[in-house]
Order: sequence, then structure tokens, then C-alpha cells
Amino acid sequence: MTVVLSDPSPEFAERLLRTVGPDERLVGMKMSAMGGSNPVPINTLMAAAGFLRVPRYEDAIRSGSQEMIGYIDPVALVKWLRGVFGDHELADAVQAEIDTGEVFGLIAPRIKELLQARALQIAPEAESPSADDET
Amino acid sequence: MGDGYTGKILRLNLTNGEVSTMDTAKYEEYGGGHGMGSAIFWDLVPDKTISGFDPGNVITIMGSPLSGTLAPAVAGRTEVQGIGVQGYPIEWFTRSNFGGRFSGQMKFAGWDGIVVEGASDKPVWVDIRNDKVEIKDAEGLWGLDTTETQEEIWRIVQNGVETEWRSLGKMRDAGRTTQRPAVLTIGPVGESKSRTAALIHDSGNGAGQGGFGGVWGAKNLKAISVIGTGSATVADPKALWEARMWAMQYGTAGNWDEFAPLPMGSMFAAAPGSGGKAYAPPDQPASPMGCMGCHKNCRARFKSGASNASTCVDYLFYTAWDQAAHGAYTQVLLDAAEAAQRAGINVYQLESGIIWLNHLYTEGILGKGKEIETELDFTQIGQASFITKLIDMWVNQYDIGADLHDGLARCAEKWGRYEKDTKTGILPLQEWGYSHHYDARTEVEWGYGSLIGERDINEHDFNMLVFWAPSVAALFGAESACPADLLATLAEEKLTPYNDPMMMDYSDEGIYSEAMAKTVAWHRHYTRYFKQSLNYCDWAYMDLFNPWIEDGRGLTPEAEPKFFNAVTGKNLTFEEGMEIGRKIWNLDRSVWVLQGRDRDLEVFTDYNYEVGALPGYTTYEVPYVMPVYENGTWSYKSVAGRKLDRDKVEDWKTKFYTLEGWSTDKGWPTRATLEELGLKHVADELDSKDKLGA
Repeated sequence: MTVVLSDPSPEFAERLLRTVGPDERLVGMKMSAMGGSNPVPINTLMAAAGFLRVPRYEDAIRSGSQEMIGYIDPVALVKWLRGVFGDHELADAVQAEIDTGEVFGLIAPRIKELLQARALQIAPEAESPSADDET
Repeated sequence: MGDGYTGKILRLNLTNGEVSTMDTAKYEEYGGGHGMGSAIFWDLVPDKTISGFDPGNVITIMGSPLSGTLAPAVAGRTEVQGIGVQGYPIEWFTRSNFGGRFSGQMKFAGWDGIVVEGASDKPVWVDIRNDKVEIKDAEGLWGLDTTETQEEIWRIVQNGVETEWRSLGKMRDAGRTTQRPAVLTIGPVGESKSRTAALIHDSGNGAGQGGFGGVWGAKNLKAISVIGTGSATVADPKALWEARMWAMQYGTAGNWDEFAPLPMGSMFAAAPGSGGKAYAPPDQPASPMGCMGCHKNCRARFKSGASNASTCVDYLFYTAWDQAAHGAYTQVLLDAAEAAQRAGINVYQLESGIIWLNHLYTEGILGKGKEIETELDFTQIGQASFITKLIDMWVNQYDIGADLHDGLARCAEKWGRYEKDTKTGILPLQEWGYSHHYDARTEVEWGYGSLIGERDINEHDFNMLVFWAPSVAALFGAESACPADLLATLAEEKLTPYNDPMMMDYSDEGIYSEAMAKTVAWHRHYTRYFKQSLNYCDWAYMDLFNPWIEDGRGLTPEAEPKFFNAVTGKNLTFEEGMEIGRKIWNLDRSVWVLQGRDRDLEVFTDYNYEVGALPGYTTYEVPYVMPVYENGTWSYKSVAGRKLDRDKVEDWKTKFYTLEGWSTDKGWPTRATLEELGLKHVADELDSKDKLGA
């Protein structure tokens, strides 16, 4: 990630942490070879940062793979960040990734980094993305 | 030497405790599995309109001549049938299938299948040790989860002694084996007669769809255990061995490193353990694991032991929420899979249920103090606490679990939300109360097959080629390993008897064409015989395209009869197998007609006609890329955003009914069609009920 996002104000961070309603939510797509394709509602910025998942191509494409692609349309994401949260800086950074013209599989990991960076700024105490022992 | 069959089917009457046998030969024309199950059901259930909970419902659990043999990706699979209780609005006669080793153990014990009739007045389990069969009191098992039940039965059968060799009797020649009994069981949710209950075997194997766990609960049947010391007989062992070696050229690498760089797209190709290689959470070393006799070993065992060998939606139903909450796969999803499996719950209902409930929560309809009251804390979605609480509610029928226990469709009806929420699609039930799995609006062979059938087909062969491979390739900027024009050529060469390249046209016009009717008919006939009667695994067959072979030609249609003939000594052709599949399909159709099926019922839920396949608003690469024939050229193209046209679907149904030889006004098989297939007795029965197509 080359872009360094500026720290949001406490008020703006509060806004970015809100849970949006059904009219404002983003819809991702859970894709797995065995499990099928199902729309998944995303109601928080934190959830978007977590949900976006891009496995290696050879892991995803294989017959019988248990991998999941957590797909979020990058263009829809930009609209959501800008229109729902007013986070123009993050939206611009995602848009810059889109503007590279590279495919989803290449830009999605970088977009995830951007989202995670913002998530860390607004909720540093929240679970880290690698938390694994919640049970 | 032999012919793959043991020659007898075990018949259990739980009402009077009678144990008897049936001759397999009477049903041998159907191959095994589903075909035999349908024919036995037809013969033993005079009134097909009874509820699945009725003691008169008959459940068949069938292997095939290939069970327990060296034939790849088939030896351990088992087919289950009967009137299911999941179907909505009618409890259709239906099927499910599971992997593992149950059918192999049945074979080793001397049985081609098991037929369960009646209902016990108290909980029982069935102890099968070769030809010794006992229906036993299950008081000590009732209430145990599926893992505990199996462990307890192992302890009982092994007399509490853990040894490498197990003797099945006191006589020196009574037979010995290193195997544990293969147990098929229900969990607590089945005991409480839920329509969402599964049958569970070992770890990671479940007959989930259909609600057969609830049917067993109604029969007071906790488990069936089988262990045998015999073997599978094979007519031509040398031919079987050579066939297996021949098949290896279609993609069996020695290890993952050798396998991973090769182009994907084949259903058959695999390296041992490759399935489990990728999906373990980072801190969970995984070792490969597979079903009996399989070359793929697509499963894994994990360090924690939780959800061992689980694949498919067993493993995947909570991934999106775990991922969203934690940014990665974590131990949470393994624990979720473990909890669902121990309860014996149909995880498809859980997956769609969570999506739906979360929608209702965010819309302010469901929650504490809301229209639909619940204590479930949706701020914890993605955490283990959320899923374990939901499963506990579901199993023990309190809070919203009291209604979910009856299945999503009936729950939605009770809450007054079925019409509304299937119209918007937030309740993702595509047809017959079954969960949206693959999308009827885009992968139409999946949707049509499910609609004309009785359940989500869950058959990935076409889907892998026409949807998954090109769609995922597009996301990564790669070319699909099988070019669209080659796919069309393969359809023309291999999809006998239709042999029409246009069968692969998923364009906006192609999905309503006669060629698509051929695709669906081919698929129904192929799967009914080869996958569900001979029990070839859905994740290895059909193998239409195979990048490991220079010209890309997969091992279908050569492999399917090759293994069967080596085992049975018969000389079946692929075309003959397809015709048997057509016969079985028409027999099933006739049962559904007697249950009330007609053309007017065969409609998708509204969202399929009124909401575009998401994410249809996108301008970026979208994961709905499929083969189309446009302007004289084959290519892969995005079909995202597509809705189905009601009138065109109706036109397509007319084409399909005509192709099948069914009446176009009702969709009922005609006498001519049934008699041509040797089903005169079925035609007579339909005629007597005024249900014969004209």
C-alpha cells in the first residue's frame, strides 16, 4: 500500500464506525466452488474490511476447493465509501487502485489493506484481522 | 469372482421388529443406489401422498456394485431416499447422498442396501455385523450428539476394547477386521423431528438435504451401524486395475507442488490432499483425508480436531461471517462446523437462515423488543458465541429456534414473511424451500434442474465448467482453461444422445432454447444413473474437459461404463446408462405427479424473476461469466444482472416437457413415454389416479 491515510477526527471516526441500514448497505458476494454464490449484506466498514478475501488463483479455481472469494465490487465500494460514509480520502485511494486497470485479483488485496488501515485508525482496540482464538 | 453385488438387500421393519431380506436381482436393472431405491419405494409404498413423518414412509440406504471396490471416487458413497420433510409446499419424494465408507462396509457385511420401514414405539438402533442383524434399544444413545453416538456404538461393538483387529464373533473363523463400524446417525435435532435434520456418518459426511434426520426421528431410529469382514466381489479384477491405471492419466499428481501449477478445470484431476491443502486456518496444520477408495482425498483433518473431514457447505456456511468479523478464516468456522455436525443439522438451512435473519435484524424487524422477538445478539455475528447460540436455539426449540426448527420456508410462512422476503430475495430460497446455492438466473441448468426436480440439485459438473472456471478466471485476468469454442465442441462430441454444441449457450436467448432443454435433460438422466445409482462422486464426474490430456478431452463418457463393466462383467454402453437414467428420472417424476406435481407448481420464487443476479449494478469485472454463442462466435461473457423472464421460462418448460415426452399442459409423463421405458405398471397407476399425461 503506497497511500497513507490521514487520521480521521474523533467525530469522523464515529461516523465511520456506524452500522448502516438496509437502504445503505453494501452487498458482497460469497463465492465458493462447493458452496455456491450468495449475496452477503455488509453493514459496516469494519465488516467490509474483513469480508474482502482473495485467495490464490490456483487455490480458488481448483475443483473441490474449499476456498472462498469474498467479492466486493470495487466500483460499488467507492460509491459506498463516498456516498454513505463521506470518506472521500479512502474512496479516492480505492479509485486509484481501480484506475490502474488491473484485474480484481490484483487490486483487491491492496484495497483490503486500505480498508484495514482505515479500520485500525477508527477502532484500534478492535480485534485484529488475524485474531483466531475467539472461541 | 463375482459381479459387484452381494445379492441381497436388508429389510428392517421397525414397527414389528422384523428383519428380512430382499433379492437384489429383482432391481438389478437399475444398477444400484437411486434407481433401486426409487423402484423399491414404488413397490413398498402404496400411498405416495403420505407425510414423510408417517410410519408408512420407506427409507432406502443404497450402495452400488462399485461400493467397496477400487473404482475411483465412488467406492464409499451412499444414496438415501424416501419422502423428505424439507420440501415446501409439498414434502416431495427426494434423495440425498453422502461420502465416507458406509456403503463399502455394507458391501463387506454382505448387503447391497438397507430398507427401513415402519416406526418403532421406542428409540432403537440397528447393529449389523455381517449377516447378524439386531434392532436394539437406543435408550443409552438418545440425546447424544452425532459424534458421541458413534463413539458409543464403537465402544459397544468393540466390547469396550480398543484393539487393532476386531473379531465379529467368538468362533475363530467368525471374521476379523481392522475397521471400526460405519455408523449413520441422527443428532438431537433429528430426534426432535426437525425438517432441517441431517443423517451424519463419521466426521464430515452428511445426508443433509431432505430432512431425513427428522424422518428417522419420527421412526425412533437413532442409528444404523454396520461392520463386515467380507469383501467386494469383482468380475474382472485385472480390467478394474487397468481401468484405474488408465484413469490416472487424467490428472493424479503425487503431491500438491506438482499439481498446483497446472491449469485447472477438470473435475477428476487431483493430488492426494490437495482439497484440504488450501483451506485450513493459518494455525491449523492439515493432513489429507478422503472417502473410501478415492484418488482425490479432498478432505482434511485439522490440528484442533474440530470439523475434521468437513467439506462443502458443512465447512463453508459460516465462512463469510467469520471472515467479515476477523478478516481471515479462524478457528471459529471450524467450531461452527463442529457444532452443526454434532447437532446433526442441515447446514444449508443454517447458511441461508443466517443471511435472512441478519437482513431482518438490520431492517429492525427482528431483535430484542422488535416485531420478531429474539435474544440472539447480532452484534456478535461472525463470532463463535453467535453461531453456538443460534444452533442451541434451533436444536432445543426456544426463542426463534422454535420456528426455525421447522425449516426456513415454513418459519417464514409462520412469521408472515414468505411472500415478501422471497420476492426481494432476502430469504434466499430458490425453489421448493431449498436454499439458493447456485443462481437460477445465470447458471440455469442448476436452477431448471432443481425446479423440474424436487430439490437443489447440488451437481457441480456443468457448473464448474460454465460458471466457476470462467468467472474466477476473469477475476484474476486469466483465460479459462477450456476455451468456450472447445467447450461447445466437447458438448457435441460427448453429451450423448443429444450431441448439440448449443447446449453450452448461456446467452440471454440460449437459456430459453431447446438446446438448454437438452442440457437439463442430459444432466437429469446422467446424474440419476451414473452419480446417484452407481454413486460416482459429484466432485469427480462428469469429466468433460481435462487439461491434463493434450486435446482436453476428459474421461467422460469412457470411464463410467468402463469401471462398471469391469466390476459387474456386463457390457453396458454409456448410451444404455443414459437410458436407464431416463427411466429412473421418469419413475421419480411419476411419484411427484402422484404427490401433486403439475406444471403450475413449477415456478421459481419471485426474486428470480424480479431482482437481477447480484451484483448487477457493477461496472467492474463481475463473477457471472458464462459461455455464450453470439454473432456466430463462442466466447465467455458476463451475464450479471440477469433476471428470468416469466413467459420465456414457461416457453422453456413446454420445450422441456416435449423433449421428455410429458404432457405440455400438466408436465405429466404420458403412457407412451412410460411404456417405452418399461414402466407400464407406473403408467397404469397414474392412469388409475387420473394423473397420466395426455
